[in-house]
Amino acid sequence: MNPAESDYDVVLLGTSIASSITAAALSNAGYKVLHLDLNGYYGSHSASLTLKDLLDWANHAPSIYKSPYASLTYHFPSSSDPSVAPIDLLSASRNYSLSLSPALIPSTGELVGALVQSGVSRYSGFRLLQGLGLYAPDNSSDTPIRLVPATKEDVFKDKDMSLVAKRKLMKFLQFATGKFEESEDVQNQGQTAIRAYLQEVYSLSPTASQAIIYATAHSASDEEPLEKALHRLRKYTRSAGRYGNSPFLIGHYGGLGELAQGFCRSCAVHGGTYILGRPIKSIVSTSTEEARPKFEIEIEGISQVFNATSVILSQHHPRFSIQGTSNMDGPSFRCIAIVDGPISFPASDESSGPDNVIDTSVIIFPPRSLGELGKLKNSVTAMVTGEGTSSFWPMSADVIYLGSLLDDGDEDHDAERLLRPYLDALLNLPSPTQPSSPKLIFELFYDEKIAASSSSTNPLRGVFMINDAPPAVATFSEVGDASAIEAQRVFWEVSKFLSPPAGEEGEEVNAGPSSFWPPLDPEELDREVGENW
Amino acid sequence: MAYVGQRANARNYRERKEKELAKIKSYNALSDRVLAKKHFGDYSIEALDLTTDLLAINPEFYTIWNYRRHIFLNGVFPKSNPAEIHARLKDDLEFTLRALKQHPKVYWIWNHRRWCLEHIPVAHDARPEAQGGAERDGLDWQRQSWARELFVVEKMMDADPRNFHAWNYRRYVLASLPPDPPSGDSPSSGPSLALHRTPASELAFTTKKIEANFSNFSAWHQRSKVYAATGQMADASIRDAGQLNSPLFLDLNSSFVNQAMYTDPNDQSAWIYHRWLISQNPDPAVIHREIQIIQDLLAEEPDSKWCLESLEDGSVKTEVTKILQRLIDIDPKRKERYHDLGLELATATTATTTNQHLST
Repeated sequence: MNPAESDYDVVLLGTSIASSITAAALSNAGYKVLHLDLNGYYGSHSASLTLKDLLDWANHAPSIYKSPYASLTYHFPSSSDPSVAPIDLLSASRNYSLSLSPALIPSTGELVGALVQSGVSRYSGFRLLQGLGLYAPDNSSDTPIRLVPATKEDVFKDKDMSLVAKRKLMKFLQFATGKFEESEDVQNQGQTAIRAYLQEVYSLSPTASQAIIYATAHSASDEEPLEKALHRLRKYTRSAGRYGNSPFLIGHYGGLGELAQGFCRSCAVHGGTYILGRPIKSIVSTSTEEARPKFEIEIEGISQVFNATSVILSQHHPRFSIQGTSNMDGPSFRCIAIVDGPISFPASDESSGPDNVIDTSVIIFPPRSLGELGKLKNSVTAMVTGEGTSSFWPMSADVIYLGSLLDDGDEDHDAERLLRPYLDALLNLPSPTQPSSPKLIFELFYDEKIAASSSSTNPLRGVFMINDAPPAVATFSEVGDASAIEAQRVFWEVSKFLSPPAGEEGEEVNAGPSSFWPPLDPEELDREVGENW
Repeated sequence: MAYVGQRANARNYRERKEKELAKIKSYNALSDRVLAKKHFGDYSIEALDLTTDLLAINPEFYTIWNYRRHIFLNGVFPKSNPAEIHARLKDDLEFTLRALKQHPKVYWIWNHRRWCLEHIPVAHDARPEAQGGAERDGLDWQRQSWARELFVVEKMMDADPRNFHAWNYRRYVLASLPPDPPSGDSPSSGPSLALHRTPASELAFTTKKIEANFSNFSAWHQRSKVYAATGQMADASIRDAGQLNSPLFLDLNSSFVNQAMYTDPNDQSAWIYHRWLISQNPDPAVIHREIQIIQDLLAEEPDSKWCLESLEDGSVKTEVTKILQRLIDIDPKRKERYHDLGLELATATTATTTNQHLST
């Protein structure tokens, strides 16, 4: 075996979305990449799984050493024995692509940037989120879901707000989408709770404040510090209009697993090597202090030993993490459910008739919106995906994802008990077209520890930690961008380490990458899109 | 390794520059050839094809469009029957359509389309496909082309709702439509050829465009055209009867325009339309109500130039002087204008008081 073929610049452990973006960037920049994953599939804890694979995962995930998952339970409510999967559902397993990391992708965020610049966007299809609403039981119309104005046009058309209320809301949105960092308010009061700020400085009504806080900024609580909430709000509001009326794109199957796979493909296309489904036997550092580090990697079932100059591993890796650097918080409560009919979401446009079915929507439950039934102190986000996201066909069904963040005040930590009322509320939404509510076919509840902070210390030379656990707040809408940002950070650290130090004159060879992705070929950008008039 | 991408790009750049130079040379040669033929009055098919090539590269070369029309009139049409003329014109409509996708605002392309549409022949002779039992008026070719034209211009407006060329052209198309086919006479195939739009549907169309983006002067302007066309303005009897259901009153009474003013007080389209509405219907009760609405907005936005200007239009003189002074402070670039307005008002008042003196 040619020794050069087993020498790598970097080896990455785990194909989560953050690791996959990093791997693709490094490979595109010309580095030799080896990418490993214990699982037989791409995506790691961001993966999209068939129903059977999800059940396998559910049966094993909580018992892995240092697992971030707990209180996991699943049932098949429509089956005669709810603990046993019905045969017809299992045989249709491959029709379902269920995501461990459902994501709303902001159109002007870092993930979209990475997708476009790397070309990985061409491997997958995306849809625009069609509906976003707030769950408001006191809503004036015949459904508790209240549509939230996101753009100037939405505000103009809104039938419920008074003229003055519209003006106040617009003033705030104009402030929030501008350079608010330079304003005195943010510099002096950046840590005030956002609700207090909206009501005192902009005199927004409680209804308008609620809409902004939960459905436009996607805060978990109205106590969130102003500055943090404003950053997200600005990003999302600016994202509306880039590809359509909604700020968010949704991946083909609703989650990030497909995208992780796409980045891995890009990595492989540029020379990266992939080994899936095999445990690592050992990683040994064999260099001395002064020389460049060298790590020898042995993999179960493969006789060849691989050499790498650097290692990138997850901050939360069960086996190889470094003492004291794993910084988890949380947990966040999650649910994946399959129902046998569409969840009814009100259409925003009166002129679009009953044929205009909304099949991808987000419904946000602000705190206390379920009264006594809803015990969670923070908001709950529900993402509903239908046939359009190609999760499954030919049957008519919806997949519901629920996510919520733990609050210090929450006493109960059982995901099922906490999320059940919200799932019921979705099933009981009134529908003009369906005579009866959709039925639950499958439900899975779990809680997952989330990331507290990035560790920037690398105790071992040549080893780099990537923080690829889901972000704390606004998980669904921030997980994609947080991963891309983290990937970029790690990319620069590693490439600085791998390139020869500055001081070597002359040749372009030692310049190293000058940007996160190599520049796009302008001829590719000129491709015409045909149109049928 | 890492540098490969950058070196390859430098090489690509040089190659592209060379290709460009070759393109420029061949364009100049073609242009010279065509102009020479024009100079010698060449109206052949060969000349026509060369103009096609040249215009495909540079549709802004209006001389060549002219030349092309001359070729049609002097060379091609005299030798063709109506069906052939129709086919040629349809081809040119397709040709200009492709050009429009890349150059949606070039006047000469729109002009050529107008010319083509206006020259579509009337089919007098009986053709198998035109038979239908009932009498045909020979205008179906024209109807089909104008129908497609309306579709094309509306598609362009979807792509760019603020392209005033498109709005203008659309008014031209609506005004030029051949009369709707006699009722009971259904075409042998295809969609209905009854194209004329009712004022109600036009209003609904502008509403849709305004809702999509109310910073659209052309859409508001079209609304005013619809009202003007329906003759509501001139109908004093409707005004005097105070009929609140008539469309003219609707925009004023439904707060449709107020919504735009409040959502973005800086957007001039809504204010200009509002001013026009008031001027068409100077009812004191309405004016009073609108002043109140604008003052409420001014309370929220004390620096709003448009609020102040509108109030100045309808308010009492002392208030006006105060307002003009504020305008001068906020908008110093136009202080001469505000000063002039003040003088106008003073002169008008003086004339009135003089007359009063004289009559007593």
